[in-house]
Amino acid sequence: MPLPRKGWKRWQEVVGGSASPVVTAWLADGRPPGPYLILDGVAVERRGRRVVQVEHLSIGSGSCVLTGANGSGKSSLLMAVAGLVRGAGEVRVVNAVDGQGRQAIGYMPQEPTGLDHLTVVQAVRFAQVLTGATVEVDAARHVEAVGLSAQIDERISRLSGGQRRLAYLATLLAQPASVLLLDEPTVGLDASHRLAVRQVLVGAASSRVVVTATHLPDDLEALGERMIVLRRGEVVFDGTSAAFRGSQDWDGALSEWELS
Amino acid sequence: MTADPPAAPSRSRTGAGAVLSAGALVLFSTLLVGTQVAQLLLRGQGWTIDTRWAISQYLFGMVLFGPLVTAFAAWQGRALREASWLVRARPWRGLTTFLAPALVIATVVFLGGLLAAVGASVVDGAPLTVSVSDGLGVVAGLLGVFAHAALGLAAGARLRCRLVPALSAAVVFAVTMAAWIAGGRVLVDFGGATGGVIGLQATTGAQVSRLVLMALLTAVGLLAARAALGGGPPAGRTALTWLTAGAVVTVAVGLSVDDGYRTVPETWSCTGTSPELCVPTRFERLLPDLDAAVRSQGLADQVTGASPNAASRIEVDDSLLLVQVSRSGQDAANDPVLLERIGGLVYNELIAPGCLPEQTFLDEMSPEAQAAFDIITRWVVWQTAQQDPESAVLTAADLGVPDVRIGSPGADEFLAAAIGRLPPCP
Repeated sequence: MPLPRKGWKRWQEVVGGSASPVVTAWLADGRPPGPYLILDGVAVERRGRRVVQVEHLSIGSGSCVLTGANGSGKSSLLMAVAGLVRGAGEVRVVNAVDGQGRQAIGYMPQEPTGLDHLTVVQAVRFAQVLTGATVEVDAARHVEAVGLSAQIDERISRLSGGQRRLAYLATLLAQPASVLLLDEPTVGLDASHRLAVRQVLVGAASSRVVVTATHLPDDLEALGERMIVLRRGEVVFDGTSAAFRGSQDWDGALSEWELS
Repeated sequence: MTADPPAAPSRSRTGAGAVLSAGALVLFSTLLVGTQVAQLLLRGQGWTIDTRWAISQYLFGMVLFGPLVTAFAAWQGRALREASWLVRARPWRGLTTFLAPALVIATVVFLGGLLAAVGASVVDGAPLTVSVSDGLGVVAGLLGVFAHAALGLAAGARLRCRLVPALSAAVVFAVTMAAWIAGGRVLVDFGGATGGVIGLQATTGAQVSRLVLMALLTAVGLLAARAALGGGPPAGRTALTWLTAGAVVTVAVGLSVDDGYRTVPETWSCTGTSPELCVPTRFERLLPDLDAAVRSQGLADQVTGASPNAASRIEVDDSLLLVQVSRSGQDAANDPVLLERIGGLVYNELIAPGCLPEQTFLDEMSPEAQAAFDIITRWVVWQTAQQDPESAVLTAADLGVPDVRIGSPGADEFLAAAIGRLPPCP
């Protein structure tokens, strides 16, 4: 098999014979896989209660939606993957483009804060420095990518809620992460900003693993290239959104989540 | 989303400065600088006569400076917590980036204030005499700044309360006060605020205890802050446990030792006259003015000449008296406050039992000697009070002493008789 790339070699070493069908297909095509997020036996407990139990997940580059009712474990799973809560199991990123280890995973909570006193471009540049981005992309380009060029020198604290979210999204994009985890990134935004966030995420998914936790129908439609449904912390569905529509009561599920 | 070349950003803040808002910078810098300036300018400035005293008194300011550093770092700890989603990629780098502004500003202010204190004493004419113990005291103070900062960062990173900067400062101040009261002074006593530091210096054990404790607290604070960011390795928690245990043991050791000071031998510079007047060598510049004031006052000469039981050498280790000499300068011989203080000096240095090593001799003296000592005491008090008109409110009759003045033949007779009944000075 050709492709003696460093990342490729690591991929073979790490994944070995346990590659998913998708990867196997890629191997058959002879294409090098993009970055991959692999979870094995990830479990999170809170106050003695197990809130997440994921036996195995392999998520390749592209947009993936993590969905489920409130309390289903979406946020806990993302935080465990990001290393912000203590959990059991193993999280690996293979074939990472730039950052390694923790730097290979970027995470943005539902209400990101911490850099409000900086201008948009300062925040992006700070994120680059802090996370050790080695790929030279001008901070202004990341700002441009989220459509905030006009606000590039505005303090984040002075932006609207939607613009603020986009500014922090730019700081996420600026990181050398091959895997981006976003927790409800469009909640509380108006329609235009929701659209802008989705466009950015779809763009980012062309070269990275983008996992978005959401239960908003519009997000599921726009970002659900692949859907992982959680219930009580366990994966109850993993496939394309089309397959989900075919296998479940789509409207009923949405109603359940929205009501919850 | 165009592909046009991006506009050049007008400003750039990507380092540690990026994690400190302008408001916090102004607030905490003002508090830290203001505290140090206040303690340099608003308290008595006798310390300027001696660089060792200046250093020691300055380090005492850690009692207030430390809690302010804690508050500053706790503020940064809160910011660190808010940005934990971002710094989680490189936790240690994020932690140090958020801590750096507080630590750098606090360190610069601390060292700047120290330089100002030492500079003021040098300008005042004090020779730059810094002992190893003084140097260790400065190192301990610097480590104290680090420890306060690290603990504040940990508090801010771990506690969700918005008031954590104020609360952590209050707790640190309360713990410091409790340590002073409860016998743990050696652990928090970075320096002395009074003039009693002449001839004293911290023991090696006290210095080491402070250094070790501050280093341990710094490490504990940093590891606790790191743990607050989540996802730390198990080895980090183990290290945190061991270091905390080490800090507790160090505190226990500190609580078991005495006040942590020892007397150090002084080198003396003397007049070579009789009575001989001596000051620690680093105060040699004050000797001529002091000698003039002592001769002007006359009591020392008269006491020495009155009886062989009186001592003939005065070693001046009263720092406040030396301050008064420094302030009076060439007018020392006419300074009534100084002349009154010299009375006490002569009484303590030349007349038994003041000149004796232990005051307990007083109880062992004969009733006759005790009576002589008593009347001398009252006479000296009355005489020296006469030299400061504001203090001269009592008459000789009020005190039951003979109405004879310093330098008079009557005073010669009185002193010869009274001192002759006392044990001789060594």
